[in-house]
Amino acid sequence: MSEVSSIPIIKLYENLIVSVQVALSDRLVVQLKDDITQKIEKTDAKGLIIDVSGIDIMDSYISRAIRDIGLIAQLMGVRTVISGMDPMIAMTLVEMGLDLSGMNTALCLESAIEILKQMEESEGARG
Amino acid sequence: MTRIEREIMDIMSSHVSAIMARSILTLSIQWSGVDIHNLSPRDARYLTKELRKGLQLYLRDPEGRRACITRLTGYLEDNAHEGKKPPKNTIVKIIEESDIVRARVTGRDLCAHMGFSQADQIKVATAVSELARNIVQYANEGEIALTVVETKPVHIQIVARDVGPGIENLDIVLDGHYESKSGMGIGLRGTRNLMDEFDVQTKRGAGTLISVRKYLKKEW
Repeated sequence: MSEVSSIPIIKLYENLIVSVQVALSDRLVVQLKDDITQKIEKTDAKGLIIDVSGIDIMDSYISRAIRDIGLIAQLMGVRTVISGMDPMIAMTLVEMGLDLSGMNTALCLESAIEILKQMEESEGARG
Repeated sequence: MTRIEREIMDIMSSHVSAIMARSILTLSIQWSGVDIHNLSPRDARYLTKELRKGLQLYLRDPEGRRACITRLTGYLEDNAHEGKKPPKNTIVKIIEESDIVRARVTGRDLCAHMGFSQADQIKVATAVSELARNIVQYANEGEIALTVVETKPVHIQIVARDVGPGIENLDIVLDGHYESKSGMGIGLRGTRNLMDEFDVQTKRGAGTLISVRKYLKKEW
């Protein structure tokens, strides 16, 4: 059976970090959705960071895939942040009329971790 | 490894072992001091000289050495880029997902050569990605032609062509009020927003031809 490549998901305390470094194909998207849901269940993760700094171009398909993954995680009760989006890619997405609203974003991984912490604290304060 | 390094290694590997080729190449690049990502014609000559020296040490057979050096010299002459214009017309066949990346990288490279701003390069690459993906998802195969047009107004022209099923209800799809299950409309509308000119010709059962242009804007 040949080795099938997949996108690594890294656990950091109670957060999961996914750094997309390759072009997302249909197969990889399906596999990633699967892997993330399984890992969330297995690790009981509270936060997810999707790092897109390694993606060269975000077209509508890629954007939707990233958004779907974020929504799936949120439905599973996991706070999600998208980090590392290139500002020019962000401008392009807006100009195309694509909608990534509902997603928290951060410029880099450090900010993303900060945001996850803040989200946890504000939820604690409310509860 | 850059494309040029790979191709130089290919040429040498038919005369020396791959490991030897790799060593000769690495040392030649170091000793000639050239930037392999950015070879001017003069750099190409320096590099060729160092490669020749390396081959003289490790490739004993004089015939083979001569042949190898000739091929390397020719190859490097052709591929040193300074002052070289990008090809006027490039056609990328679109059959599988990996062709989407190829097409958009080609588009971006052409735009970079033409002097487009980073922002516009990304817009063109994104539009090409959308068009290529639509071909892969709905038409099975097609092609994307990228043309550099130097008569004013200078622009890049991209034509995505396929003999797929055609787009039904094009007007509604482009209108934006129709929520397609598949998202083809989103890609098309997005492309239209990013480009300066946008035209779709489609016939049910016969195929689709989408033609877009992006004008080169002067940096302020």
